[in-house]
Amino acid sequence: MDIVDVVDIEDSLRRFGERYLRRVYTQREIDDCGDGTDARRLATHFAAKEAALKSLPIEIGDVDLRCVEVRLPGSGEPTLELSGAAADAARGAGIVSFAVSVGATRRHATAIVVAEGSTTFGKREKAG
Amino acid sequence: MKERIRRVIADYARLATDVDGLEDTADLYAAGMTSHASVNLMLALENEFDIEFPDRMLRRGVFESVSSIQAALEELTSEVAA
Repeated sequence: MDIVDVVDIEDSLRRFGERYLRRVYTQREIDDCGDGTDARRLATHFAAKEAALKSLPIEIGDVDLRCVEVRLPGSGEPTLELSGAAADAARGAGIVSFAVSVGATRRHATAIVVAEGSTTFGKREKAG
Repeated sequence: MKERIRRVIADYARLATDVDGLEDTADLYAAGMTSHASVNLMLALENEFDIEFPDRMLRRGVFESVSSIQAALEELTSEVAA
């Protein structure tokens, strides 16, 4: 889970503009956020990226944030597309899919990501 | 260089404590820096020192302390000078 203050995103856009967008978001995400002008939607993307990274066996900060691309369709569930080190970490952990939930107010954006693995825990194979 | 780094940290890292009270090796994340603040810190350092961090340096370890930032900047500036 992660929560992001929308004002923080507005500050970053004002201070760093295009450079901030290019270092954090994919081109598709920028396009999806009003060409990078919709701070609340950007905050939602950021929260989902962070929540996804927290679900992986990897140190946050060691992964390029653009390796987690967030899709927020107008209707239907949000989805994630992983690449690079994030995809490697997910594959290594046996994660096969993610369940994503997001929400936002004027001030805050939140995201919850549940990583779903392929391994069944708690069951033992019968001998013989 | 160290004082300039500390000034940028004070302005952008949003620590829960005064950076002047931290050792050079103190963990900035443990002092309250979020990953979003670390992005701002990186961009502000690029402005301050007129450099660009390459992708290979976009790691937690590079931005986790005054000392680690200084080491990265020294590496980058020496590459430029060479």
